[in-house]
Amino acid sequence: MKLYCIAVLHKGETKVNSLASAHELSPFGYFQRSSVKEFMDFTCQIVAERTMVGSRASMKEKEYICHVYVRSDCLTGLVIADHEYPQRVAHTLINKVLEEFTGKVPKSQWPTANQRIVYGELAGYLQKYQDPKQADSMTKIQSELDETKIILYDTIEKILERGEKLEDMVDNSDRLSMHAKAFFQVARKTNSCCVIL
Amino acid sequence: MANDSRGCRLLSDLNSAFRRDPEIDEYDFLPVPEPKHNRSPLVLQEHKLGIESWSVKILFQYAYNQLISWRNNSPPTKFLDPTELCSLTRAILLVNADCSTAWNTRKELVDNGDLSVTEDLKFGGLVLKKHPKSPETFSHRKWLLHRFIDNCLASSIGSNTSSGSNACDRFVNMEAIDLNMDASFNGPNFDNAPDLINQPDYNELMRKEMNVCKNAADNHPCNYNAWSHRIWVLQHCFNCSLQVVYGELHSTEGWVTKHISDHSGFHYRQFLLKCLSQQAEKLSEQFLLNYRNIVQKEMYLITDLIKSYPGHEALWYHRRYVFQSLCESCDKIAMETIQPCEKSQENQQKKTKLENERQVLLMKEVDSVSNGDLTGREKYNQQLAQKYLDWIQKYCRR
Repeated sequence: MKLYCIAVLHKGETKVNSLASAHELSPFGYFQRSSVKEFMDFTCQIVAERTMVGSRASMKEKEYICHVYVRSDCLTGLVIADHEYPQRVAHTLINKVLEEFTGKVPKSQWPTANQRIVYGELAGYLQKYQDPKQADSMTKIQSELDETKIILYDTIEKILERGEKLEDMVDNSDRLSMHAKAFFQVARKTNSCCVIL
Repeated sequence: MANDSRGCRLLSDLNSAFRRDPEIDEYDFLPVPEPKHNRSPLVLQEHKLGIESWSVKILFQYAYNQLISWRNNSPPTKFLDPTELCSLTRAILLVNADCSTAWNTRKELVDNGDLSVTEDLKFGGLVLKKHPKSPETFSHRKWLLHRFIDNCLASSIGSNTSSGSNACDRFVNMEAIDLNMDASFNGPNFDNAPDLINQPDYNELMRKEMNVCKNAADNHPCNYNAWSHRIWVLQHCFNCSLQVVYGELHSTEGWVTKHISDHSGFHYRQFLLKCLSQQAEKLSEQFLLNYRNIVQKEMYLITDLIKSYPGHEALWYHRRYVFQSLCESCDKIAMETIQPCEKSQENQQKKTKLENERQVLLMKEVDSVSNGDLTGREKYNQQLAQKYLDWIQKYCRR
């Protein structure tokens, strides 16, 4: 039961802006960590781009599940976890993080600010909520969560547009390093379970 | 062949890496399909070894061919000294952990005293980092542990202070191994403290072995081979000592709580419970623990997990085992206290009372599971609950 990543982004009209993120990479092999981190960020980006404003979703991909909520004001929260981590707790955690972030960083900064924003608590939450029972303190927020509104996707491919293919997106991306791309190709070929996508 | 000289060079690079850093604890193949520069494909950082993928096949084929040629007594490789054999087999196994020939060669090296048991166990631990399920690796470990136990027993025979007992008795009397468990669980002192615990490294080595199993289980979901090996260690190295078994029950609780869909983890707990049930009398006489209470506690644990994490089959299957254990424990008490042929009123009353207890147990369970509180609103969990109820009906018709 693991949490791998929490991220906050802003879904602007033309682009998605990454605001803050925290990663838990210790479950991965030493040499894979940098690529895995790149892929988690890449996943957050493309998922945020393709999720409608005001909607909540959980999308499965191999052993991972990416939970996302794009708030009506376009502030977007994502959590990447394994399939054991309860969906309810993941979405509650997203709500909590977005609420706190809103209090800390003025709205005007969301479209343009980048990772220079300091949101140190995020790493702490990632550690603390490795144990979902920690969510008990969030039960008030939990009961407000309407789970029936969460859209479920079997694979991330389901949210891609017609004709879009994951391999091409990875290849053409200018956000991924050569090393990460090579890592993706190898993992894809061996169908290994070390890659998010 | 050009590859031969490249292979030779790669092997020598690998050997230097291990010489430079004897504490390498992890390795991986790096996604570099073509050699891009004229440097060694090995990367060594913070005790982690990286091998560029283009070189893996060349290294493996070279090492493997050398080994097979040596075994066939073919001229160029007729005389390979133990160090060379050690490095060849190491290179082979890092890539293909299930190469029996390589492991068996290492067995010969151990037998000849060219390789120590602890050194080979350490190497196997490294291999398991990358190949956490490898059956041959676990099989080889069993052989090594047998060797270790034999060596311990052999060297302790000379210093035997308790006269009259043979090696077997000493092996069996391992209950006194102190394992840092709950303060509330202080077993009585045994008079015949066996010589095996006095062996400086025995306990530590066995504890390390349990840790290797745990790490392998962490690295691969439902790692049956790792958990089976753990069971084997309990049986053959700890002789299912009650203290150890109970300690394991305690220490794996946290693990299964964090791996709720791992059937193998729960299967291990079932094995532990079975061990305790087979020694239930000893458990209560010497350790003042009631087996039935332990099973009841397990029921509380599984109930809590089902409630907190709806929709995981492994939890429901484990519940079946626990419920079955409760019923069997009930039946056992019944068989012990009732004389089947005696028709006295007292006996009949006892019989009825125990039958009722069984019925009550059953009804309570059906009630708990049908209750929406346990099953929640999640659809899949409700299906699992229904399957469980169907199973109970069948189970109770037996």
